[in-house]
Amino acid sequence: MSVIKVDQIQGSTGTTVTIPSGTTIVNSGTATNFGLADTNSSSSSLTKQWINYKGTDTNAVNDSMNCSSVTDSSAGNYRPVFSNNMDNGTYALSGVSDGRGSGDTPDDGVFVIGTTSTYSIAPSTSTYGVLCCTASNGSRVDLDNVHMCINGDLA
Amino acid sequence: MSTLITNTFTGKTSAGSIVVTGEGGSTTTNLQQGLCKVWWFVTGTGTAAITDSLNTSGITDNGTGDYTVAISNDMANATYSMGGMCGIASSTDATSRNVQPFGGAIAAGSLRYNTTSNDANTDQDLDTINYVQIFGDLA
Repeated sequence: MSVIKVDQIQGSTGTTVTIPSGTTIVNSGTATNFGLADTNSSSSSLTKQWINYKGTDTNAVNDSMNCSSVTDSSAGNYRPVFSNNMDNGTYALSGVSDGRGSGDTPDDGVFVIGTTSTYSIAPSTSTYGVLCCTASNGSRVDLDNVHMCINGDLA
Repeated sequence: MSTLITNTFTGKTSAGSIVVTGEGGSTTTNLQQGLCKVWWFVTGTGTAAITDSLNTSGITDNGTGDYTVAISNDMANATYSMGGMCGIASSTDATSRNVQPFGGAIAAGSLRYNTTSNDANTDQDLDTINYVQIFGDLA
C-alpha cells in the first residue's frame, strides 16, 4: 500500500477534483464537511416548532422546540413566540386541545385566525395567535393541554 | 449536488443532536427534534385497529371514542406535543370533530386520546379513520 501525505487537495485547473467512475475512496478515519451544501433540501420536511402548553393557572410551556415563550393575551387566546423566526407567515399550523382537563369539555377546540382581529393576530414570522373555544357556545376558554406544531420554512 | 449515502446519522458533539440549516439560510433547526416520532392511522369503528403507523406496538379500544396506543420506542417524557384529525364517513356526518389528548393519561410509553363530536359535546367512534402524530424527544 502506498501512503500519500498532504494537507490539502486542489484541482489543477479549478476547484473541482474528479473521482473517476469505478473508483472507491475508503474512509478509515473521520471525514468532515462532505456534502453539507445541500442541507436545505432536508430541512423542509422537518417540523419547525412543537409545543405542549398548559393554558390554565400558571400558563406554563410544559415542553417545546423553537418556542421562546407563549403570551397569554386573554382567555383562550395564546401567542407562541418563535426562538428562530420563520421565513414568512404562510406556514402550516395544526393544534389539538384536551377535553378532559379541569373544566374542559369534549367540544373544546383550537383555532387559528388568518388575519389580525379583535380576538387574535395573523401569523407572522415571529409569532401567531390561537384561540381555544367551546364549540357549543362559542366562548373562549383557557384549556389545560394545548398542543401546537408548525411546518414551513425557517428564516 | 452531493449525495450522502449512509444508514445512521449520529451527532459528533452530542449523539442525539444534529443541526440543520434552515431554508432561508440564516437560522438553524435540529434534525432529531424536528422529526415526527410516532404517527398512526386508526380505523376507529367496531374494534379499533391500527391500519398504518410508525413506532407503535398496539391499540386498546377503551370505549366509544376512547383509545390508547402503545409506543414501541418510548418517548423521553410525558410532555410531548401531539396533533391529530378525524375522518368522516359521509356528508351527513360532516359535523365538527376533534382529536383530543386524554389529559391524565399521556405517558412516555403510550397515549390515550379521544375522538369527539363538537356538536353533541360527547365522545364518538369516528367512522373510519383518525390520525395522530407525536412530536417530542425520544428516550
